[in-house]
Amino acid sequence: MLQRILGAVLVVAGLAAIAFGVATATVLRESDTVVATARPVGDGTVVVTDPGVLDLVDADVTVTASVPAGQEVTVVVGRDVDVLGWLEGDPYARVTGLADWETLTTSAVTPEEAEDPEAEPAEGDAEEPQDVELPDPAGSDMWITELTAAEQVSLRWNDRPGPWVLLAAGTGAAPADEADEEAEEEGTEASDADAQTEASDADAVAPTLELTWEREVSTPLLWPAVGLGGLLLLLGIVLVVVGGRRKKRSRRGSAAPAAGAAAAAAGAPSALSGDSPIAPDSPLSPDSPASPASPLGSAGGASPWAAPGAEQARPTPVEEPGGAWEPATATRPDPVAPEDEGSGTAPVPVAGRFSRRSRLRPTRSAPEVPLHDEGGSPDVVEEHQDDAPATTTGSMPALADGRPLTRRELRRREEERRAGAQSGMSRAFRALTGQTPVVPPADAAPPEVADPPAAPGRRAAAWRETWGFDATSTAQDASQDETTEGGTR
Amino acid sequence: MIARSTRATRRATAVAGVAATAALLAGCAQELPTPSADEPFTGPVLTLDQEVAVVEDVAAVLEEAEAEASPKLLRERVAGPAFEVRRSQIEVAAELDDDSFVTRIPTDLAATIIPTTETWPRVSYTITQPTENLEAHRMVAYQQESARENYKLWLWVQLIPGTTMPNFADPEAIGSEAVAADDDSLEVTPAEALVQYADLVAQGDDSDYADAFELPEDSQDLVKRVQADARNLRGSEGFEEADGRYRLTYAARDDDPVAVRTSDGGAVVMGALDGNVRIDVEEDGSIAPFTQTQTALMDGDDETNELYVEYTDQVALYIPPAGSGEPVRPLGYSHDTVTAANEFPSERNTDREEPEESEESE
Repeated sequence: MLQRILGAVLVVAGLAAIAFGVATATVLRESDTVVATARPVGDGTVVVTDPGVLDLVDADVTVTASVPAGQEVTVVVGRDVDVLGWLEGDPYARVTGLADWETLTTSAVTPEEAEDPEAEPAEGDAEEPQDVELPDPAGSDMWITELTAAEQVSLRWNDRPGPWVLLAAGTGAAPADEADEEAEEEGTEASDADAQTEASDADAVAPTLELTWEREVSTPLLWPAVGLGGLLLLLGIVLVVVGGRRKKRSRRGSAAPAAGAAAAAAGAPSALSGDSPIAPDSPLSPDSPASPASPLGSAGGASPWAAPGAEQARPTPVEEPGGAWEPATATRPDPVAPEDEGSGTAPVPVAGRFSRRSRLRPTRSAPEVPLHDEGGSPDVVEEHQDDAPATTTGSMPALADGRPLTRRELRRREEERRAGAQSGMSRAFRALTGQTPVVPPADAAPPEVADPPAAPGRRAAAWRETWGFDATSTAQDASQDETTEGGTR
Repeated sequence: MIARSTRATRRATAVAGVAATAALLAGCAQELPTPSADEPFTGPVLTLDQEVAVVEDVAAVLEEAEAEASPKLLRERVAGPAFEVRRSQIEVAAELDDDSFVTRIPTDLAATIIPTTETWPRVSYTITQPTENLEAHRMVAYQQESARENYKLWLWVQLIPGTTMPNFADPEAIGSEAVAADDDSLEVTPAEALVQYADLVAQGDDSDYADAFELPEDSQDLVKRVQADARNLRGSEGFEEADGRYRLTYAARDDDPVAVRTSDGGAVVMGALDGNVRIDVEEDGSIAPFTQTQTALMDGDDETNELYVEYTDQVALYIPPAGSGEPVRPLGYSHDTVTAANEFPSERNTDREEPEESEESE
């Protein structure tokens, strides 16, 4: 039990891991582009990236510098020495790196420090002259590339060896003298917000930088997660299967004695009918055993079983149309019933009604019973016996019963077993609920009893089923055939 | 028991698996990259493309200034000795309505010499292809005085035909080192070389430095040309009778030389020499300007018994490395008259606080 539970858990965990792995490569995958923004600090109108910032994420970078409406902005790329030389100690904002994936760190550089770019940048000094007007950097012979535009400019840069730096300068649109006036105003009232607001209209302001890189997003978790998930899944499946096997085995162990008991209880009929096929049935398809039937079988035990089983079977399909195969098997017994010598014992149908499972299971086995019984022809039996050793495995109780299953029966059982096995979930759940163990012993009993009478009709029914005749019609046919058969005989 | 232990093992395995998954998840967060500065630049400060852009931009300004006959326009891209000369040329050309007095600076380059200087000023050099008129190659110096200024035409010379140019470092990969005016790794410092050359120009073979220079055999350099002019005038008819005096003065400008290292460890220095000629004859005599340029520069002033002509001569010299024992070689020059007057001024362009002028009077 625990094993199977663990197996199921592992399966779920494995699926989850695989799903997660796939998700990391799809929905959870990080963006292919890194967009980092630098807000200008300090008094300067210039923003300069440190060497190495441009190719921080990728060699290709798109730089977008924007300034308030109505102003011009220039972006240039040059050698670090040239740019710093051009700044000549004027204050500027320095972009030093990434604060996070969306923000660039900036620090204000005051004139003193500009002479030594390696020095630690200090906070913007309030004593520094405000609004230092720098000339337009555009047009210098030193720049590798430069762009000037109103409000926003976008520059693509493909990094090349060397400490290249980018300089973005708001060059302003207002006349220089106006700016000077503003500067004077601010000299007297440096903290005057109004003055600064006005100044922002007229003066050049440092642009806001936005660096966009294409990033190669690795999905390091994809394959590990999928692999791990697969492993868990595999392990879980193995556990479930192994657990299932063990259970079967243990169930088989319990079923065998039950069958024996049933046989004993049944006495002569059981011996005659040799329902052994049922015993094998139970191990093959654990679902099939009709629990209620078994106690009945053991109790009532006699050949009459067949009839009741058949009678019980008939109502079943009517009341509860189940899987397609169910009615077929259920109805089949019907026709048999009348013919059966089967003085049906009362208890059987009752039991069948009480438990759905009992209803279904016994029906499946039940048909066999009446058919067998009905057919009664020695030929068939003999045939069975002959076939049995060949087709059934040694472990099959069939031999013990003395009447082996026909090949058709075996095939059908195998099919049923497979059908049962295919509905793995139900099996698993059953395994979880732990109801199954109860079933096997019951399983064995009723067919045991029922089987012997069913012999003759069974072949016809099996034939029909094999050739895919309609369930209901098959049932009818079967009954007719059987009747006729019986009649002729 | 066994079953239980296996179960326990499995449980442990499961736990380990979960832990591994968690670890993987934790490790998945990508670390923020930090800027790592590349190796500092060591090569040339300009790419070839940039140099070509400079040359073409300068040429455009030259052309515009000439077309407008407006030397002011030169300010943007011309400075130093080149500015003086060019201004004079433009004025003369306008006066005479003849642009043949303006030196062409072709934009087709035969070679470039890009500096590795990380500070300012920086000087780059080009050697141009000959013009359509098969004029000589020119060596041109462009100087960037400060970071916020652009490269400006600073000096140019016509290379002396037949001169062998020294080799320079690859302008694209390596770049050439600038040489200070007082660099002592040479046979003679660049500044001193110019001073000596000025003396040689003024005095000719009589100069103390005549042996330090190797003048071209077959071609005319500045020394030969100036000396030839002097000889011609002195030897002209009637000059003696008119009690004529021809005084030639030359001095190097000490603030302008630019020099660049050559592959052999020597240097090429380019600088300007100021020169003037004072010619006077007897009181009632008169001297006419000798050239159209002088005439134009006289601006219609009457002829007197005095003639004063000033030259701004740009020169290029090759200075071999120290210890080589080789002489200095003139590579090229540009001999341009910038002033002409009918009387001697009180101050001449060769005046220096510590006069290093060499005067030849007769």
